Amino acid sequence: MDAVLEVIGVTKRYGPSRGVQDVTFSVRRGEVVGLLGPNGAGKTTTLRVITGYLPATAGRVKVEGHDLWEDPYAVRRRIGYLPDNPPLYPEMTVYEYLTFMGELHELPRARREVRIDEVAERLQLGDVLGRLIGRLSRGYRQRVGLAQAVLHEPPVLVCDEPTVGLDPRQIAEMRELIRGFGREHAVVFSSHILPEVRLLCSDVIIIHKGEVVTRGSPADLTERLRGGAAQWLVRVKGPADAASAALAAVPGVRSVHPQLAAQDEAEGVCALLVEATPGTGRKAGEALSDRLFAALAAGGWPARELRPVETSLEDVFMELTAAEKAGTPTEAAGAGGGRRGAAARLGTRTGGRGKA
Amino acid sequence: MSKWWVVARREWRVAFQSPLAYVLLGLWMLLAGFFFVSLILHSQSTDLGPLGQNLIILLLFIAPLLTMRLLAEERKTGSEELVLTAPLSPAQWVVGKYIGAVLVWTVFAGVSLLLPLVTSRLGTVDWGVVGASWLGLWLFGAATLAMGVFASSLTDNQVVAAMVGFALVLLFYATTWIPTSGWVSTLLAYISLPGQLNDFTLGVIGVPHLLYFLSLIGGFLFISVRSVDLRRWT
Repeated sequence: MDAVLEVIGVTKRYGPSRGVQDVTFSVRRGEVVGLLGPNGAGKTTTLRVITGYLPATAGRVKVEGHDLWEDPYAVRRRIGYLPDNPPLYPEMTVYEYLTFMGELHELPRARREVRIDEVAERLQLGDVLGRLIGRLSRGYRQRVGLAQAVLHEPPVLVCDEPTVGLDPRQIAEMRELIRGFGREHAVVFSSHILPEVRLLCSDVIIIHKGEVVTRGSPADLTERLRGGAAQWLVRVKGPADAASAALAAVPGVRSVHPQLAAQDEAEGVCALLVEATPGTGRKAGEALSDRLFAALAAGGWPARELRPVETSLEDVFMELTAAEKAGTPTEAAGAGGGRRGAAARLGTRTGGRGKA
Repeated sequence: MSKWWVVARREWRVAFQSPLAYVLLGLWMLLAGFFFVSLILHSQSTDLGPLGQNLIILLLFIAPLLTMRLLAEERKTGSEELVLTAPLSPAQWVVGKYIGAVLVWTVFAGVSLLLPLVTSRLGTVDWGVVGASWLGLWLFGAATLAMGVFASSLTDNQVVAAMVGFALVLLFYATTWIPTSGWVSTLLAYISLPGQLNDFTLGVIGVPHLLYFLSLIGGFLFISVRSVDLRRWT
């Protein structure tokens, strides 16, 4: 299906250093795209340009083919917006506020009332419809913010840091809601919380210092960082040297590195990091792990653990955002620079993982 | 329903949910009553002219307080972000805010009609003159509110908005205080707010005066819209 939201080369400058530079991405219906970046990276600015609150210095935003610049109202009608720490009117009741926003979004009276009921039920706001917004807890306010964003059934939903300041249970609820809306809408949300992005997003856009550093699915990004080479962590009861040699002889294995930090070394258990030849795909990888197991069995060494090592999104993020010290961020996104960093980090973290 | 009306209705409702409008209305009634006692009852006169002039002075102080929060508060709390990303033009937004304030002001002006009503029980009142004067007072208020809206569009600080609003109103009130001659004097007299009111207090509703007030209101609302719009570009 065609993209519902298209952001094409959006640049927003204010002052010499702040703003965003040449941001391009698109979102389809049913997709949840996460803008990930440290605070001050330009996430909010990007979202504000999309919603039409800030005019872009250059570039275009299109929603269902309507251009924000040429037909701003057609675009605004099609976007629901939940700003960071949603600025609601504390002196209005939830019902009054939703009515007000519904009127601004041109919902006819009957439709508006139906929608307020529907949204209140879905967001569990039924009990507080008559309460003043100023008296509501943070979690409820966030939900009221989300309610006004989806009230007019926009194809695009834009949420800025939707879980900030909520308690863990509210965070889980908010994520569930966003995931739910992600099935019917095209959702863009910003976050600086990595597990959240991994949990919710079909696609991640990493933004740093106002520029898009990379984009891909969480799995893609971790894959790319490893340079495509799959790795397995093997813990096996047996002599490290012999086991290493046996595993290295398995077709498709590029190298085997003994790991230092096996917890139960006393029992004769050793840990090995097995690296496949680059370009090993997912299917081939699974076959390879079967062969690794067979090789260990043939040697008579009981395998305590045999699992693929996933580079976490944290690694990608740290790698990409720290890379500017060494070179430009885009270079680091390529195979070479990223891989080194990941391997080094894996080495130091293997011990910790073994425990889990 | 027009969107400016949606905004105006919200403004009207919110105004009477906060203490500010009640405090101002109370002060307005208290001071108007005080002027009434001293100028009408005490001097045994049914001439309402001096009373009207005092209400105008009072209005100079009250109008900026009625408008100070309109746009400044929205900007401060960020609540304008949700409104301005809805399908609503800055003009609808500003005009709605302004109409909301005018509705509140109309309550103030309406309450002041009690004074001629009481006077009419004590002596003869020329209702034609009262009506024209009241219209003049109302228009004067509406014009000062437009200046206040403009002041509120310039800042996110309500106190600053009130002070700028007061300065603007006072400037238009006091243009004739500078001793000048020739065409400058004529010009200053024409743009002076009180100068426009003289005919109203005589019971005359002149088209040029109506145009003066309407263009003053239109002008200030126009630059307020530009100011709201421009802010997003910087």
